[in-house]
Amino acid sequence: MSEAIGKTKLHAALFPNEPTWFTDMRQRAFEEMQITNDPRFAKVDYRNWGLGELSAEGPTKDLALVDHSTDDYILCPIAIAMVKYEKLFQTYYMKKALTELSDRLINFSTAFVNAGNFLYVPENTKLAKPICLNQIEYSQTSDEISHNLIVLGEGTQATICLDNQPEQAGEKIHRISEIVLEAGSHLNLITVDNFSSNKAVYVNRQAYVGEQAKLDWTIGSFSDGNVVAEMNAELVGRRSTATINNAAITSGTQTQGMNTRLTNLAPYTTGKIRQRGVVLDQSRLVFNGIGKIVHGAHGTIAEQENRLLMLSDQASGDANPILLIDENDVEAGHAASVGRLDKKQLYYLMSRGLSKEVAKQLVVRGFIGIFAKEITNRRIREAFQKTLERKLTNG
Amino acid sequence: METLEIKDLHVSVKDDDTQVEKEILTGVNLVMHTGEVHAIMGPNGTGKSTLSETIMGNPHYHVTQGDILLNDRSLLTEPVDARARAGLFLAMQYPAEIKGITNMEFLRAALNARRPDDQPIPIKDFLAQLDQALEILNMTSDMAERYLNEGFSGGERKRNEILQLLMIKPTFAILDELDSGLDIDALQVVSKGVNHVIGPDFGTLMITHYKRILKYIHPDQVHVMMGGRIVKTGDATLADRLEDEGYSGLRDELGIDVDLVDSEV
Repeated sequence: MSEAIGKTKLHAALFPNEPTWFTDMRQRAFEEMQITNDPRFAKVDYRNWGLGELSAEGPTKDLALVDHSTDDYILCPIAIAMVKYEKLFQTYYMKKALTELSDRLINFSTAFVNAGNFLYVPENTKLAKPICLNQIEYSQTSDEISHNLIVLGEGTQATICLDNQPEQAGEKIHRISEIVLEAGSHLNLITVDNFSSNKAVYVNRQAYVGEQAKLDWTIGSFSDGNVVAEMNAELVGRRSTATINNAAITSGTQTQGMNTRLTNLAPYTTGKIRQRGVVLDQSRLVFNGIGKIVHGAHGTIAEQENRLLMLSDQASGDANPILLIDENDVEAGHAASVGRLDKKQLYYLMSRGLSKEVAKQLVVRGFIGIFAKEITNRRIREAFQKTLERKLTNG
Repeated sequence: METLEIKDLHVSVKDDDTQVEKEILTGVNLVMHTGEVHAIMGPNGTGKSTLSETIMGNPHYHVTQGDILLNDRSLLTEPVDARARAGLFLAMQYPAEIKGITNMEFLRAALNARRPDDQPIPIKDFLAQLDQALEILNMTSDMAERYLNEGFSGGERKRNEILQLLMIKPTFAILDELDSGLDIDALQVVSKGVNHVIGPDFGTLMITHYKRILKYIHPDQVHVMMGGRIVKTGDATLADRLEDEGYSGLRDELGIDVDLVDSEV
């Protein structure tokens, strides 16, 4: 894209009544985009997926810009938030969770952002009901380039799910999410990706976890197309904890590459990464689990487990645990495995009369479904399981 | 009345390390009918577990001669799941742990495997059966929600095997060292479970080292295995004799040339 054409397109992407500071941020990202590199996903080559490029202009939809806020929280498209709740929005947008315009895809997404939600739950709010954000209703053009900003105020408790409609239009998805947990807040976050096979997907999710805050994050990576995903939680406040559970399934000829990171930046923080993947057909699945403990973050715990179950001879997979530790007084550990179905387990199940097919299904569902079972909200759990099931059977 | 017949069974196993085939069973003959309780006793390493795994159809064991017949139909070409649906059950010494599958899911799948695809067991009926079985075994209902054998103690595993026996109601059950690793209380409870299914339509084969369990589950016939075959068959008093004289006494009396790995000092 030439710079002149790019600038024209940039102007076409602006939201109605977009504040100057936001447009300036786009401009800056656009300039940075020319000089930054693509992010690295070890052992995944995504150069020819067309990410970080604009598609031929699709039909522009009429934006349904509706403010869904209630007495308990603010929930609206970012296009509204930057005008109606400008000060609050500006305080958090690319200020806490995602702060650096460090690679080309972040810059591209920031320059051309056309969708996304702002959710703000004020301090000491305990939400009994989960909030589910479905992306599509805010998508402006056919290719989603979205930026979600979720903020939990101090002492807040909430369950939030973020998913998509598989039939969503467009060929490329760029989806950035910032999640900020202020001190003492507790978030159950469930993110499910379920994009159809004709889409190349880039997701980047960044969480900021404040003092004594707790993030329980379950991820379902069930898209049918090519995906690169960056999932990152930073334990910024003392005694904060984060658990990232990622269930991924690949099938057909797709590739999914995921960088899942946890960084212990403060003392007495606990970070756990658990990833499980099922690899079918001729697909490829790569887990890069990255645990980092910075100097001074004493008394911290960093654990990770990356497991892949290979169900086809033509499939390929990698589970790469990386621990970067710059402090002595820590507990850190990792486990990784790439394996096939356990013959002893199959024999045991079959010895009770289950056919080989049913026994295999049970073992696979048990392996990958374990995180789903830990989701406490029944409705979200069942939706998660349904998507998982869809992917396993038709994927 | 149904019949399970083992005819001149020879079985060999390939050693995982050396890849050498070794013959373990050297011609086992045994006839069981429903309504009967059989016990097989014998020293360590004599092939008792090989026999039970082979009857069930564990692909690790290779039948080189002889046959296994259920009501005169050979099971040799049948895979393990078909044998299970035909009425065989093996309570295993070391059941597999499977994380992610609850006991309940597994039991339902096992019962449904015996029913037409379009007629799964109604959940109400299933739960009623499960409650009854749990009660017999003094098990709490949270067992049903736990992952299959995962983190179970030795006693819990054995109970769980018998829970499956009660739910599945096979025609013939082989209980492989059900008594090992159980304290007296647990032994009484699992025995109660087994006695609950014993009746005219059920036959059982208990594999054991010790007489202890036979106090709670009374055998009609006791077989002694040595050197990969059955060397003597008698009634319950045979077990008493073994307890007094040890396996070496019987070996010497019968003039059998085998090493008794553990029992000889």
